[in-house]
Amino acid sequence: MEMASTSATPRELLKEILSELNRGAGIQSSAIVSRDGLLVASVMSEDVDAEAFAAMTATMLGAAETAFSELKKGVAERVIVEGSRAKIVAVGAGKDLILVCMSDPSVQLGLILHQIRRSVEKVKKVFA
Amino acid sequence: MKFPTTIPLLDDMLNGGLKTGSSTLIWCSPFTEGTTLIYQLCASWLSRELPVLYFINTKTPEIVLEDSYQYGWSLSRYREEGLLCFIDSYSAAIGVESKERYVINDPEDQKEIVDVTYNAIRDFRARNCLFVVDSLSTLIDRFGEYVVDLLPELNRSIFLYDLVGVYLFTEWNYDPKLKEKISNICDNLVSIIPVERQVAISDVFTVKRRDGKSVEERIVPFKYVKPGGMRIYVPKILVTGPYNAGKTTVVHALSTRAVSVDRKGTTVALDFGHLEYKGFSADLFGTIGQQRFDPILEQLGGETLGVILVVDSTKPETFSRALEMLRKAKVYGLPLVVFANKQDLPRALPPEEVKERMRLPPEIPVVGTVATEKKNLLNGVETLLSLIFGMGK
Repeated sequence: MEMASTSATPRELLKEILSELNRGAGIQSSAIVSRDGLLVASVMSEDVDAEAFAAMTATMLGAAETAFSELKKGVAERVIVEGSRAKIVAVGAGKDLILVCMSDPSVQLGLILHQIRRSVEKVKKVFA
Repeated sequence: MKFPTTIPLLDDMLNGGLKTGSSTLIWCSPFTEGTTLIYQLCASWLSRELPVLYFINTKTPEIVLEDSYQYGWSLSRYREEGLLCFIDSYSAAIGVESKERYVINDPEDQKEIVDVTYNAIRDFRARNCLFVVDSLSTLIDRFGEYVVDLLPELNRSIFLYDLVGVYLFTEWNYDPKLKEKISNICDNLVSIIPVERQVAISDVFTVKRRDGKSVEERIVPFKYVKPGGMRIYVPKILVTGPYNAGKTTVVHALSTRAVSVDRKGTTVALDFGHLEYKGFSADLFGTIGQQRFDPILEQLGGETLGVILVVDSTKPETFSRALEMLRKAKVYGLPLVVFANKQDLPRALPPEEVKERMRLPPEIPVVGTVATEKKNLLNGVETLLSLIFGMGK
């Protein structure tokens, strides 16, 4: 895996990307997860079981993608879950990774998607 | 004498632990963490009522106590008793008064550091005292390469006075020649490095030198947990098997905490659990048994380190499905243990017969289990862990 022109390790860089994302409007925590369910990096409060969250995120997106391919309706771009106390948005970030973030329920979806899209581009560059 | 570090595979690789009179270098890649390992060694020494002498130039002794407390090691008592002594080469640098037994008043004064340190070492002679230097890299940063030339003599004193020396070193951007020199200076070299397997990045340790000789490197993934400290870490053990074999029960019975997504007792997404066992920590991924969920199984099989295949011993007709699931998850050939489950039921086939009917190669262990009673599950896990890490070889 080649790195972008910077001296930090990929893991440090990913954490910084997530911290930056969390600084955005209404986003509380975020994580990068491998498609097969392993936690790669996360910036979230300590009471969240990040590994379990990672495994479930990969399962959610995996199930959505499978459902789409069964329907022959192209690819699933993202999974959005609107809960009573949070929104969760998970999007693919390249072939192997998923970026997932959790926000306040009142935050506009468009705003979250805009922020997460920028972060996805950065994540892809780390592994470019 | 040899003293176990109490970290399972590390002791294995060091042939039983750290020897009296020996020196060990803990070599950390940038952005990896070695201090917690140092605290863990201190805690294990002190809990055996063996003394610890701690040279510190990176933070105050109070911070060491606070940090180690977070991992569940309460060391202040030992400091009061005098079993844990600091050589404080930090407080004076930030203008704080130090109450430690050994204080370096001018941390810029090489001679004072050397004199105070040797005095301390002599005070602790012949007691199997753990002598820690936290950190060697900070000394080098302050005084240059010259520090490295002092180490052979320090090691000689460790040898003569029956201490156990451990140096912490972080590999910043030093001259390659200097790094080469440092790597050959101690009896043992334990290296902590980050390793990227596909996309997952995990820290591993390895022993590169033992008793002054290079050894064949074995790589052991680990993580630090609070409380507990260093745990050998297996990020993914796949628990798979046909519908209704007892996978969810296995995951829950083995886990300190677990989550499942299920509907009416059948898993529809994933069982996930954390297992803590004898210094090991593993995350268990329990897959779905029914065939219609196989695409998810294929996806979750990646980066597995070991597999538990659960089968219902009363249903030999499901055995071929079990083997098919291994193929689907692309985990065939990885360390594998078969749990011949439901041994408590009247028509259960004994493990040997399950093995025969599945036509498994002889080296694959099959253990008879009763998941609902947690019977034999940990035996099976132990077998799997020893397969994953090639223990006892």
